[in-house]
Amino acid sequence: MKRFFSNMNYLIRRIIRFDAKLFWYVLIEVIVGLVIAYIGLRLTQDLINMVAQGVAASRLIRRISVLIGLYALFGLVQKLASHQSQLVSQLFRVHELAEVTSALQSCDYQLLEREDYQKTKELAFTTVQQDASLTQIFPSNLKRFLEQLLKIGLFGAMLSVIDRRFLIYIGLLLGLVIGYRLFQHRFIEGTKAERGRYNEQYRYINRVTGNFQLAKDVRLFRVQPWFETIFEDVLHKLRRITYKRGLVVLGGQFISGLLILLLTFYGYAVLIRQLQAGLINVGQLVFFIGALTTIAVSSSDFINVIFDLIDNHGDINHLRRFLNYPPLFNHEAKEPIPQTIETIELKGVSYQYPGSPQPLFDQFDLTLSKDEKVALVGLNGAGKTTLVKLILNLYKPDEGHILINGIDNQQFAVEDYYRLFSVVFQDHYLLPLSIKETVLQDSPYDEDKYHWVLEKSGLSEVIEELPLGEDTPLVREIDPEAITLSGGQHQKLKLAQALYKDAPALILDEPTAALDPLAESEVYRRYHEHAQDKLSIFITHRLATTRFCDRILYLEEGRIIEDGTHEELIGLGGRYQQMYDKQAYYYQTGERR
Amino acid sequence: MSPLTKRVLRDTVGLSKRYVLVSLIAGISSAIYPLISIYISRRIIDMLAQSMAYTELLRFILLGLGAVFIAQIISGLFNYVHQFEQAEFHQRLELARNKKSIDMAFGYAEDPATKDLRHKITIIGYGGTPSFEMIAYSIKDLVSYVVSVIGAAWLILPAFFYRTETVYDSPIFFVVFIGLLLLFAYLPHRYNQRQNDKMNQLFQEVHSANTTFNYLADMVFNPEAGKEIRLYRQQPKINRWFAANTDPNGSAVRWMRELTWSMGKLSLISFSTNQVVILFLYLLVGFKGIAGGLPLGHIVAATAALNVLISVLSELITHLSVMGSDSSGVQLHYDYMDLPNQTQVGSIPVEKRLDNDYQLSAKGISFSYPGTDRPVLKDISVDFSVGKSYAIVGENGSGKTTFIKLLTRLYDPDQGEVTLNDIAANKYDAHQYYSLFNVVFQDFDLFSFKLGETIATDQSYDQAKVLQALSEVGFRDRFDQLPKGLDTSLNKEFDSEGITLSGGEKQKLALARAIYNDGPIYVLDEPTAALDPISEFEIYQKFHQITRGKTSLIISHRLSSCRFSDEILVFDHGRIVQRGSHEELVAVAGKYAELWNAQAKHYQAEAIDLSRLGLTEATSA
Repeated sequence: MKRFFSNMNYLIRRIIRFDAKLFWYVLIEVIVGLVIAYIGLRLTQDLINMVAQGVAASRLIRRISVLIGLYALFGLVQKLASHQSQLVSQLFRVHELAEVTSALQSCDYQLLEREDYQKTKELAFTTVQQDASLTQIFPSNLKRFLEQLLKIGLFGAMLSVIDRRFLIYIGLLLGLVIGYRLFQHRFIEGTKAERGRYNEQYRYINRVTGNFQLAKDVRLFRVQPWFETIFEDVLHKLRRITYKRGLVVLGGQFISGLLILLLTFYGYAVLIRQLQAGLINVGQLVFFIGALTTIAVSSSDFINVIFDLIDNHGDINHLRRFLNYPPLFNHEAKEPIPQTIETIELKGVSYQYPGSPQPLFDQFDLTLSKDEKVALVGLNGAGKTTLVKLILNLYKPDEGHILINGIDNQQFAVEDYYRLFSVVFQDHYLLPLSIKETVLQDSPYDEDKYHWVLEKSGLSEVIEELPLGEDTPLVREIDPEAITLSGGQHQKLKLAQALYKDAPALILDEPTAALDPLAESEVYRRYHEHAQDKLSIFITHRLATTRFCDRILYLEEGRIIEDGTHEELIGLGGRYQQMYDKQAYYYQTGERR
Repeated sequence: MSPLTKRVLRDTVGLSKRYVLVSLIAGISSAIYPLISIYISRRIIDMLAQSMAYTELLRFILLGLGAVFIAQIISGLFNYVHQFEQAEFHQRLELARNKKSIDMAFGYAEDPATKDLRHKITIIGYGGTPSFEMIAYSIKDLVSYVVSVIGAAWLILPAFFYRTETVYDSPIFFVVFIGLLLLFAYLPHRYNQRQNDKMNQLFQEVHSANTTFNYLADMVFNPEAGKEIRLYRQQPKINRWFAANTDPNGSAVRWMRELTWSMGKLSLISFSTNQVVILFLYLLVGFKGIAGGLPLGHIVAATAALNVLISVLSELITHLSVMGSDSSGVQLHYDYMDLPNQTQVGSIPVEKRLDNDYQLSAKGISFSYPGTDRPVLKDISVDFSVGKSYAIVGENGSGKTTFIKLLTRLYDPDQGEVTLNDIAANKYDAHQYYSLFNVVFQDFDLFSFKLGETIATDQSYDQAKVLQALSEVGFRDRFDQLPKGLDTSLNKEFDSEGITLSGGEKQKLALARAIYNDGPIYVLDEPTAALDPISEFEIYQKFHQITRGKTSLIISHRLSSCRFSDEILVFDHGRIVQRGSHEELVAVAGKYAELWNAQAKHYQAEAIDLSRLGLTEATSA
């Protein structure tokens, strides 16, 4: 219960911060809604009474016109207020969506890979994703809650003047239905996880079959019948749960319907007695029966809205948890960021992936210094990429320290820290920008530097062939004018981007995996030219290219087991050499099979 | 009803008869119970006027309320089922569209325009344009509106036809009433149509903003992209794009404003005009009651029924007109569903042969991607001898991958033909033809099901054969550590204990999947790109065992793979510029030597000690 109010409070505060006027619109809707309900019932009552009394035509016209006029007037006010509140609600939801996406980009990278964070992210997203998400429908829920509460109160009070027992029966009705709904709520909560799982499976099948990128595999391996069987199976399971749930829901409808029947029947019994005793007239009878019907309808809506909120208030908690997720890294600059890197030291660094049985790195030490060109080699899973992520402060060590020029890197604000590195990752992500904008990223334009970078990276040759030149956009999905770069061209672009950033250290993660031999050779030549006066680290599987490096680190299960130049390691006759031999084998002269 | 609407309804029935049936019952029952309720109150009020005995009155009331109760329960039941059936119908519809993306000619599946079309279908309804879904989903409402209108008319008409022997019996009142009613129901509909055109225009603008938004949202949601976002400080830029969606002057917000306002305006107008009709009827029944004794029950029933009628009439007209005209939104759906399928001209079954004697040839094939005029392949002819191994090499963009797309019949050549045993490839049954190829594409995907099923791409499979394939690709060690064995799920979608594989492991499984397929021809596009040198070496060593005398084509940038191939095809700018064995090609100056030396020079400086490799028999020279 405390959680519930705290979540509601959180949501209301966020709305107030966005646009407090929203609550005024809601208030207007509620009050006007109440007045309209009253006028509607009065209209029928007065019509009946005037007919029964046989009043003069002019009086009938006057009274009916006034009432319908008022009804129309308040109706218009209600619609205007509701229009405004719907619009603002939607804008609020979109605003929250932007907050979520923004938080995703600025949160600590390591969190993105954590299961708990990912779950929270997914759940937070559902609260802001659609028109039916809670952030958008909350104001209308609030309106329903207040309006129905007031209607029950107003008409209940009127009925209690006739017979006090009405209040008791209305209270009993509410109590019983709420009791059943609590049971129903528990039941539905209990099936939520299972439903969620099947829905996820459905979404997966939908994603795979609808994904055009997988079109080749889906065709060649003729998976359609297989997928259809699984699809039918998932639908069948979903149907089973839904029907079970349907019985419970139907039970609730049965109970509330029966109670309303009894209440209405009681109302008729009491009112007809009063009518026959001459205490009320027919018009009043119709009015009170109408009031009872309104109470019945309002009660069920009132209860629905309460349970909608109870069922979903957890969503707000996810949103709240997500937006306030505790950071891992330091975001406050306790030390200014250095202009150059003299040394990078890893001291007693341990790191364990969540869910893995033992740490990948355990008490790991390493010192890299300025001007070193370091190659990181090893088998898949040896920890090469993880090591780079630790150095980049994308992961935080569980134990130990990483020092830059002798200063613990947690003393720097992580955002500043990222300025120290130019990195080329393996992934191909592009913002919908032009080539030029992609090279510049967030650095200011410097004409000399820009042209120098284009030359050095070989990107200028790419640009020359394009009709739109450096202004060519890069994402086909968004801009039909855009071009899709080949693997080699992409590498040149990424190199240019890294060079333009001109950070003290350069890090490359398997930059040539997708390149043909000529492009590969060219890329290596360019990289090595530019790493001259910088600290550079690169991960590679192509051992021959490591001979340009001053220092090769052979990594195995989180430990450096060999450290030296190419010639030194070959001389050692260890793992590096074994690996080298296997790769070199087919490149030797003589027959190879 | 327009032909397109008929087609929608036919397809709706085809997708789920149950959905249609439930919609009909839910529609009728939800219209009926409020009408019953009105009818009962009319009877009660009439009885009151007749000063009937108290108990008899109450007995009737109880009966009446019971009838309403039952009708309400039935309506509740079917509306619940309807909700679920509609959700399932939606899922089936999506699957039907997805199936189409599997069946359509591959060229369409690769065309960004198809992707865009698919996206538009999903969101077209938001702009208010009637879509396939909207029509299919409106069945229940439509039925309910029709029943409501008939029922309401049945409750209102007695008030008009009740003879009071006064001026109010004149048919003119009836005519005016109907006229006003129809006019005020039709006007908002007209307005709505005009509005729709405007909204559509705005929608086009929003569509492009929306595409950008989705692209970026996908990116931001992918943890991998997060590295670059942080290292290159892309947050402010991305947030600026997102902010465009909440910018009060931006097209997205303008669209939202206009959409809600146009709907708001509409409801204001129809609400106001409806009050005129209400006033008219209230006064008329009032006069008839006072002057001519129209019973109170009729008065109450007619006024209550009028409220029902008004609330559905204009909706009914809008729905009917949607069904009566061809909507551009529905057209989008059929534009997609009617895209030409994979050329199914062929129906010849592929002859089953145990000797793998399937001879594949390319005869003078040329090809440009649809919608472009740049030839990617130019006049390529190759006869692939049965059982030989081929390496295909060349620079990025020289046409290698496109070539295998043609051989596997994902595309048809513009000129020339691909033949199998001297019969054109497209004469064969497509599925059987596909089954001949054991492929690993560069951008392959494994599916998130059980390991055994994933290797076999089927629910039933031959265990021993799967295990054999896993051994051949060097996955056996990892496999032996899996407690659930072949029932281990990949990823977490279907099993929270599923395993996540590294890039290298995935590639091994992709190769195992190709081996399991056991067709006569291997087509491997960069099958070892994600492997470390040791695993790569192991696969290379086993290459001949794996391909077992079947025809094999391997594309690789690691030219080491050429050493164990019988013949090398060197691609350059869409042509085969050289072909022959490694020894022949490396001896002459040409593209191959250029490529080879660029890579091999790094490995020839040191002599390697073959004894250290632990090789056996015929492997070393």
